[in-house]
This record gives sequence, structure tokens and C-alpha cells, in this order.
Amino acid sequence: MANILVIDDDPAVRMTIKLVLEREGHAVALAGDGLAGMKAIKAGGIDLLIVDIFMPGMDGIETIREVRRHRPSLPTIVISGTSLGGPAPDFLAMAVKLGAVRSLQKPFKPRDIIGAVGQSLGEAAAKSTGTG
Amino acid sequence: MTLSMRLAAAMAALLGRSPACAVAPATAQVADAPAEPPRQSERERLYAAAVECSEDAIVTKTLDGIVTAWNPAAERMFGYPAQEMIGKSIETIVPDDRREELRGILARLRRGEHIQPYETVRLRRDGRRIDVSLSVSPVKSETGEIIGAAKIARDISDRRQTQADLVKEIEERRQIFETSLDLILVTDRKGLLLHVSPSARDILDYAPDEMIGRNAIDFIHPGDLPNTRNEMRLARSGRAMRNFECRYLHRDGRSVTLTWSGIWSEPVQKHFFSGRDMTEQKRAEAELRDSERMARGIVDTALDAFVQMDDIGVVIEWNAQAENVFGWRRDHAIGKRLADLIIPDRYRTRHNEGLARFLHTGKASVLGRRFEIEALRRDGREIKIELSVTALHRREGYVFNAFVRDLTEKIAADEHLRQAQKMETIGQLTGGIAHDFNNILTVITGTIEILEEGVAEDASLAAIARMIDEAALRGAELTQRLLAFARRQPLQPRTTDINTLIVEAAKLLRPTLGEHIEIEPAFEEDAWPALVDPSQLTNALLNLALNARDAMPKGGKLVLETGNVQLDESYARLHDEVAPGPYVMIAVSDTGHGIPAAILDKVFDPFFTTKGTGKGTGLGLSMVYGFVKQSNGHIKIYSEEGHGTTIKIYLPRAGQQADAAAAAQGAVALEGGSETILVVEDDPLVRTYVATQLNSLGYTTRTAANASEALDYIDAGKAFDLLFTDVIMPGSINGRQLADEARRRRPSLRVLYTSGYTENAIVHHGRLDPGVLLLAKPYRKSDLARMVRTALTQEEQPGAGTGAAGLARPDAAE
Repeated sequence: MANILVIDDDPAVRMTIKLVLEREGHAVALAGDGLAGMKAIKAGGIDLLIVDIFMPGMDGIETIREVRRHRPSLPTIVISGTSLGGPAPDFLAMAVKLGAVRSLQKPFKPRDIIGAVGQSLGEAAAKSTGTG
Repeated sequence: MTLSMRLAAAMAALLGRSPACAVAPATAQVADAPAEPPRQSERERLYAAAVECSEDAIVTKTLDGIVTAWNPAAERMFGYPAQEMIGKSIETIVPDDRREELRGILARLRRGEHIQPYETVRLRRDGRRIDVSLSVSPVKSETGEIIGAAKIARDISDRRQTQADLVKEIEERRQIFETSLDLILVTDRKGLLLHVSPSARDILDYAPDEMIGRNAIDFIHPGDLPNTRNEMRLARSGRAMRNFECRYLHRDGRSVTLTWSGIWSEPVQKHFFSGRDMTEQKRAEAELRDSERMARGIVDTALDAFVQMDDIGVVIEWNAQAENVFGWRRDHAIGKRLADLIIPDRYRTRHNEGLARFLHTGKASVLGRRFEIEALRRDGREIKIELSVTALHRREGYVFNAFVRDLTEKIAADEHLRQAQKMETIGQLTGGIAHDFNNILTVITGTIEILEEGVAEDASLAAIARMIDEAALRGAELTQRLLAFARRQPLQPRTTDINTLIVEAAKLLRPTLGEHIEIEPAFEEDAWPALVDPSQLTNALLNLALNARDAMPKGGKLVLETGNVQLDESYARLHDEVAPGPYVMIAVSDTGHGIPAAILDKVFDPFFTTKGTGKGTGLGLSMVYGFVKQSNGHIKIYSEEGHGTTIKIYLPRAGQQADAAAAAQGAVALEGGSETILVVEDDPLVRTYVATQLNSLGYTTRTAANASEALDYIDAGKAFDLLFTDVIMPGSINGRQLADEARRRRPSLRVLYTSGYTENAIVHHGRLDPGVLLLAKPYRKSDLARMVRTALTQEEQPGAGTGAAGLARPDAAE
């Protein structure tokens, strides 16, 4: 299956996602902030990234920008505990504009994240076979 | 006999006898008169009397210049008595420098010439030279021989003086005329200018020559002509000199006010006018008036109340704002003691003592500074005011000037601002909590299924897992509400017909509210569309209605009201977060127990609840508050204990663009018809509302509360053109089944569905065939009009279950 990196500052959330995705047969690596996450991505072998938006240090938006520079085609799912609409900027939508392929609002059900991961990987595969 | 001869004879007669004239005593004597017989004719006696009485000196002399007669006037004129002069040479009275003249005269007389009156100088006995006018005639004898001369001398020294005086006076008058600062005009009776003083140049910028010969009316302000004519008429009729004002026109067109005194001179038939330029004085007066008016104006238009009090505490001035602030009218307040009007009981003694102390010592703690204090209104209410008092010393004593600002509004606004800031802070805090809480919930919702699988065999453990899952879901809902309050929930505002939305919401409410609560709509028929997220507004209304229900445990009335309001600048000033402009107002009122005033300002706080434990989260109103704020709207609560509560929501009117589109639709595309429409709708409120709207478009409506009523109507054979039905209806037959049944009986029947579900939901979940006409709720009147028209004019509609496609699809309600 796929190698997935989860970046979230909340260890319980990281663990939850890891649990859910590993049960689906994916290999899941974890990082607690953007910097650590970027290290893992640069090290290679990551097929899909799940990243939280609000994190201390290098936040999700910045991380996505960095990822776009190094791995423009890395499918990315952005997650957040707030949907931040209304007068505040909609960071989920912003992240999608930056290149995230899906966004999920917490809390989500296992099937939501599993579905999002499956679809994103499928699209990425179709894209790479299409171009390759 | 010539005149001279007669004169000489008369003189001789006169001087010889007592004269008839009583004026002068018979002092004159004629020395050689006895040569003539004393017989005199009557005529000669008359002549003699004339000579005796004459004011002119009459003298006769021989050709050698020896005086032969000297009348009394000659005595007076020259100072020599007759007896002294007779026999003397006339040279006695001729100054040395005039001797030649005398010789010339005597020579001419010898030749018989008359000397016409000429002016010369003679000497008086006292040596003074006098001006005389002389005329001399030769005196002839009976034989015609020239024997002497008669001289008439008139003293013209006085005339000369008079003349000189006159010249001098004329000169003086001319100087007055020339130098007058006033405008002096001389006119004939018709106003024709004869003389104009040079001051015309300064006053009117005209040279006198430019004015002379023209009529004065050319220079008079037209508005003052009648009065001027009247004044002239009065002057001619002999009225004494009068003063009157008359404006003259300056060369540059402006008017110059002159105060005139005028007089008519009958002997010369002329008007004499003297006009004083009052413009400067006028200006000074006007400036004074202006400055008084300005002071008055400042006081009258001041935004603060102005109250003036004399030194015994009596009100002497009270402006309009003072009327507003304190409720006492000016005419009532003036003359009253200030203490009795606006000073609360507990301050009165202090006020009176303070006043007395000031008058005694000149010191007062309240003067010259600003301070806040309570004051009494006419209605007995105490208000907080900002007061500044100054003392002004006047001739008649002190006056105290007080400016008063009513702080009620400011305090309310401050309070409001504090409230808004509090809400903002709480909002931020709540948002943060919600964010973290979502992480926690993610862990639960993400893992609970794993747990569930693990305990699937153990029914009781599986139930616990389900319980945990459900609890997490409730937690998720709670964070959603928190986020809504924290204005973090995205809204999808769109142009929304408020009335329709409320009708729909009320339909949802009915079962929840129960039988004992009556819903009463009070709609503004032409309510503006609002720019708002309709589903969130529905939620908000549900929240408010539930609160209303809980406030009316014994039943009551829920009034749902709509209206168009214009919130103005002054309202916006009081409510910081409100932008002035057009708003659509929704008021939800109950007849419940109301909210105590003490906690009224807390009801929008999250977690604040008046309901007992377990009865509510306390997030309802705060959620509504957050939503309204996020929608750029405004919310107000009014409540009176025991009488009920009203919550007013103000939503911004949908933008001009949308308005224009709506207006265009209204004007052009709002097409109605005269067909008959059968409306099937279970909710009486919605049913009535839809029927009203269709009626207003010209349609005739028949209504049915459910499918079976509708089928009864059809079976009765009554005619109608369109079936308008909700898709989802209670009872055994839903909207689609009703349409199928109806078509079985009338195959050509046209059908229009409506539903609160979106078109996608309805169509995709197989409740309707694609292509059928569906009007999605909430819809605007224009949407209704268009869809009804489309349904009525379609070539052919899909039959029941035939699934014919290609029909017009309803537009989104946006």
C-alpha cells in the first residue's frame, strides 16, 4: 500500500490517524511539526501527506508551500479543527489552493480519512500513469 | 418846469417853512430862498414835504459848488447840520482823492448834463468815508439858464455791507455744501436734481454733474420710491422737516441706506434734502444684532443643554436641548428655581448652601470644571449628566451658565461597547477551545470503531462503545455551536426572502411547539430580501422559538414579525457594530415570563441560561448572536418580566445589484395569470401564505391540506389548471403519489412540485423523476411566478413515471 506521513502537533491525533490507516494496510510515519515533516519528506519514500494547519513553529500552510517546492506532485490532505469561515480567512480553502488535494475538518470518522486517502492515492496513480 | 427846478423850488419852500413831514424838525434852511416870493403852489409844497421826508440826502448847490440846500437826510448822512453846510463848498464832504471827480461833475453840469447814479465815496463830518450812490441834475432858471445843481445821495454803505455779508454767507454755505459728508440734494417739485453735493462721489460714486439734470428716482432703490414720493408730498403740504430712511443705489448696484431730512421751500419752489449715510451705522447695528443672534444661535443649537441661573437660583435661560434633556419646556422653566426643577432632593441643600457661599465668599467648588452628577427629569427619572458651570459677573449681579450633557446614551453606548468587546473575547476563547476540543473528539471518533469491532461479540460492551461514539458526536455538535458563536463557521449568505423562510421554519416548529402555543405571523408584505445564510437563519429562528416555548410552559403566542427598517446614523452611533443602512427586521416575540432586567444583558453570553440544569446548553442565544454578527446584522432583546420577550434581528438588505435584478424581475418577469391552481400543503401557515402569493399574481387558488382532500376535490369534477404540491407530505400518500393519482384521472394535468429539500436530494434519492418541475424552498415570489408560468405553458409534461426529459429545470433560488 502507501507510505503516508502524518504531521500534527497533537500526538493523540497523530496516533489515531496512524491507527486507522495502518488497519487499512498503509505504512504511516509521524511528525510533530512542519520542520520534522519536511525532513522526512526530503528523505524520500513518502506517497501521501496528511498535515494539520495550526501547529506551533512551521505551520501547515508553510509546510504545504515547502512541499510544493520539493515534491510538487505529492498528494496532500489538509486537516483542521476549525473551518475558519466567515470574516477569518478560510485556511482549509487556502491550503487547497496551495495544492492540497483534499481537506477534512476535525473531528472526522475513520471512513472519512480512509476515503480521502484512497481517492487521493487513486488520482495520483491515474495521473502518473497518464503522464508516464 | 423841469423836475430839478421843481425840486429846487420845493426845497426852497420846504426849507423856509414848517414841513408837513413830522419825521424831521424844520432845521434845514435855505439861505438865498427869500429871493423868491413866499407864494407857493400846492404842488411845490408836496415836493418840499417829499424832500423833507426823503431817506436820501438831497442837496442843491451852485455851479461853484456852494451848498444852497441841505435836507435832514443829508444832515444824518454826512453829520453836518444844514446851517453849517449852507454857504459852504460842497468840497467839505468830498475826500481829497475825489476832488477831480467833483470838478468833472461841475463841468458837466455847466454843460447841462445829467449825472446818472454812480457810486462814489464821501466824507462824513467825523472823517469816516461813506459809500454813496450819487445822481446830479442841473437846476435851471425860469429863463433856462443853468444856475446850480441838485444832488441826490444815497448811503450805500449798508447795502455794500449786506452784499458783502451775503457773499460771505453764500461762500460759507457753499463750503458747507462742498464739504458736507452728508448727501445734499436740491430738486424741483418733481424730483429733478438741481444741485448735488460733491459728497455724492463718496456716498454713491457719482459725480454731481452725472446726477444733476436727472431725476432723483433714477438713484433711489425701487422699494423706497413710494415712501420717498410720499415724504416729498408731505413736505410740500407744509409738514415740518421729517426724517425718513431711503436707500439710494450706489454705482456698483448695492444699496446705500441714507437717513434723510427734507424740506420744501415755497418761495423758491424747491426741495432741499440732506441724507446721512447710515450704512456704517447700520452695519455696526447689524453686527451687534448678528453677534447677539449668534450667541443666541450657539445656545439654541448647542448639542448640550444650556441653563442659565441668576444669583438667587432662578432659571433665566433654558435652551431647546434643556427642554429635551429635562422634559421641562422653556416657558415653564424660566422663572422657576433651578433646585426645584432638576436637582434631586438629596442635592438641594448642598446646592443652596453652595450658592450662598459663593455669593458670600466668591468661592465655589463646582465652578469652572466638568463633573458628573445625577439630575432629575420632569418625569421623575434620574439621569446621569455631565455638568460644567461658570459664573459671569454682570452689572445686576452674577449669572451662572451651565452646559449639561445627558450621559444616558453615552453610558448605554459604553456599556454596549463593553458588551461587544466581552463577546469578542469570549468568541476568541471559545474558538480556541473548540479547536482543541475537535482534536480530542477526533481521537474518540477515529478510534471508537476499532474498539467497537473488538467488542462486537459482547453486547453490553458494544452498547458502551456506541454510547461513547454518540457522546463524541454530541461533542462535535457542541463544538460546531461554539464555532458558530465564535464566528468561525463559514456562512453561505445569499439573497433570501425572509417571509418564505419564516413560513418554512414555522412549519418545522409546529410539532415542537405543541398545541398550546399559537404561531401568529405579522409579515411586511413587501419585505426586502435579506443577505443571509438561509439554513443558519432557520437554525437561529428555531433556537429563538425554542426559548420562547420554554418561556411559555402554560402556552401562549409566538409572534413572528418581519419589517423593513432603516437604521440611521444616530442608531449606529449607539451601537458600534452597526453600519447605518437598510435592514430587514425579524422579530420573534413570546408572551412568556420574560427576563429580569438584571440579567438581560447577559443572555447572549455563552453558557448563560435561565433554564434549569439539563434543560439547555445556554448556547442557543449566543449562537444566534454569533450568527447575526457574522451576517453583518444586529440583534436586540426587549423583555419585561411577566409580559414576554421580543428578540429583533436586523439583517442587511440584499445588495443593490441583487435588488436591481429582483426589481427587474419584479417589473418585467413577474408574470402572473388568471388560471386556477390547486395548492396542496399540510401546514396551514404555509398554505395560506402560498395562496396569498398566488392570488397576488392574479391566480385563483383552491387549497387542500393533504392528498386525500386534493383527490376529493379532483373527484368532485371541479376545474383547475395546475396542481402545486409539496413532495413530502404526512399521511399515506406523498406528493409524487398524489400527482400520479391525479394524472390518472386527468392525464393532461400540469404539476409543479415544491420541496424544502434540494433538487439534487429529491431527484437523486429517487423520489422524483428527472425533468419534473420542482420549486426549491425557500423561494422568492419571482421564482414562484416564473415556475408557475413555466408549468402552465409547457407543451407537455412528463406523465407519471414516463421520465420524459428536456424540461426546464428550476434555477437555484439564488
